[in-house]
Amino acid sequence: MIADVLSLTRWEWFKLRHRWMPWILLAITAALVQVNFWVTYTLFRNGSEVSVGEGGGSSDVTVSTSDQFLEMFAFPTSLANGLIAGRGFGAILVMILAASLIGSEYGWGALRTVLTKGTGRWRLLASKLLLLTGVSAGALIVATAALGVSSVIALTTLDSNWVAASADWTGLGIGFGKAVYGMLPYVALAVFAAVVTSSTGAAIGISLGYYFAESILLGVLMQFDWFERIDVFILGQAVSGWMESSAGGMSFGQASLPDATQSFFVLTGYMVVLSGAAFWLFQRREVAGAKGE
Amino acid sequence: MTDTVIETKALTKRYGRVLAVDRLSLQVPRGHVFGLLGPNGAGKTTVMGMLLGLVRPTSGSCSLLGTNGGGRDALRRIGAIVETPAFYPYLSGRRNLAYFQGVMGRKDPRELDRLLELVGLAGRANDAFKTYSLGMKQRLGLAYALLGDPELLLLDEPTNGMDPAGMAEVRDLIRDLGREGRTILLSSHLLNEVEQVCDSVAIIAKGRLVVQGDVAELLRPQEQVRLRTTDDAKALAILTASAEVEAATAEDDALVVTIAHERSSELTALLSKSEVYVTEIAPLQVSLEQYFLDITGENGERSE
Repeated sequence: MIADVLSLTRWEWFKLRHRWMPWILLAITAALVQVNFWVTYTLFRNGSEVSVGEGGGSSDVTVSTSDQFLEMFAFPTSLANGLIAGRGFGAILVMILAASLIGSEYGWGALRTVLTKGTGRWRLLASKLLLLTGVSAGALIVATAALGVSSVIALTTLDSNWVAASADWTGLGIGFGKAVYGMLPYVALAVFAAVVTSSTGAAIGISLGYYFAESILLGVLMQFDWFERIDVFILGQAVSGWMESSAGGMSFGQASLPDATQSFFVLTGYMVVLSGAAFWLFQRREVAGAKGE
Repeated sequence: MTDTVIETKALTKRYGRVLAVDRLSLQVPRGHVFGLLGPNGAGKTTVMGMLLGLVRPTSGSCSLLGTNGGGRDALRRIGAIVETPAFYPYLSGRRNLAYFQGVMGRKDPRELDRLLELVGLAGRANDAFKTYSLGMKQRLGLAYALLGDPELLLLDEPTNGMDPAGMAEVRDLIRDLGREGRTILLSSHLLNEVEQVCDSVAIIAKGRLVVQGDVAELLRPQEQVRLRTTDDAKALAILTASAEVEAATAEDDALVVTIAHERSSELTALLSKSEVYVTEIAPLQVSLEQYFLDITGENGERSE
């Protein structure tokens, strides 16, 4: 059974790698991380106080001294920062990919053709989720590696060491795992939306709409004291809490963020509920012909 | 090994107020090329969908190869195309087939070459599916259905969108596949297609089974002859009065006489006694189209 899912995952990858979309999304992720990096670098070189993190998020930290800055740009901290920035952009882009991976099967009518060959519904959906997990991890690796190259270029121009004195490579590995895990609830959200709507466009709209609406709502609700008691149940807050202290030796933690363990269980809960609902619906729903999307 | 490879029992599908399939009971024997014939909207594709597990029956049951319809094990042993074949538009025909071969757990490039050659797509195999005409998509659909050498084929309107030459090729192919011993369920609204290709047929209209049987049996020469005489008016009077003749009518410039098949030769003797001579006599041939129109009314309902 597991072998069937792995085999299907391989063939899902065969299909995916022949599409333009994942490569364009990967290029966008890498480009956004690079822009984030070089804007920060340029601001510092111009003597400005800069913030690093996801951009406007509660986990951002202000860096104002040269030592802090060089530490931030040296390995492995620069890579850990890349993970944080890449996870932020990547979550959006992987939601688009996930919505497309499922929604286009309905739109083209190919889902019916696949199921007619006896692939089994839950096996097919499991293989797509597995592929999306792998693709999320791969995208983070590529974005982070590209950032590493930029880091080397930046430090070379500053005549500084590439490796920070307080290098924590284990922390980087843990941070990578946490970043991938932090993206999975968004994957589950997009997959669920795609199965519910049977449409790529609608699924992208719902999942991105949720992502941005939550950020806006979070800014408003943070004003209330009572919200601190329940904020961990908000997906974005749980992800931030989960990612706390994962930046390879640099702590971005703030007192207002939820506890990492609690956040882990909340993220797991989101994943289980959303993907469980997606599996349930996918297993039972009738499959019509092409919708022409 | 069961002799009935497809069986439906009181299979029913309702979409809200619309009754798409109404208590349909069918049996498709092993090795037959079986036609599912009906006008557009009769419920043929819905029946196919239920057999393949894509559509959930409202009530009733269906089985494929002795297992529940839509079961994974059964689906692995069949090939099917439902409506217009849908593939991945950005992949070439060959890559589409390679993908589906892969999800079946197989990898055999020679099979792909053979099937693409068989359906006449070898020359366009490396072009993207989105560039294919409807006829080419149908051909790729046939190649897809034949992946893995299935023992049962479910083909829903397989010649839809093809030019006449392509239709003839596909019908020849289906006949050949049938001769190899495969069971084929062919859904079509084209009466001549079913007549040319199928051994047995079920005619459905408004989701209901109208009739099921062997094509040859359904189209068995009727006990009617068409004849012309030297004096049709006198002949009609003689035949109407005869006890052997069940019915006689004048149609156009000839007479249509219903008489027991073995007694039709007596007509000439009967008429010649009254100095009416037969100039032309022939059994009345009924096409499936004529039969279909006879048993279904204007609304596709049984005319009884």
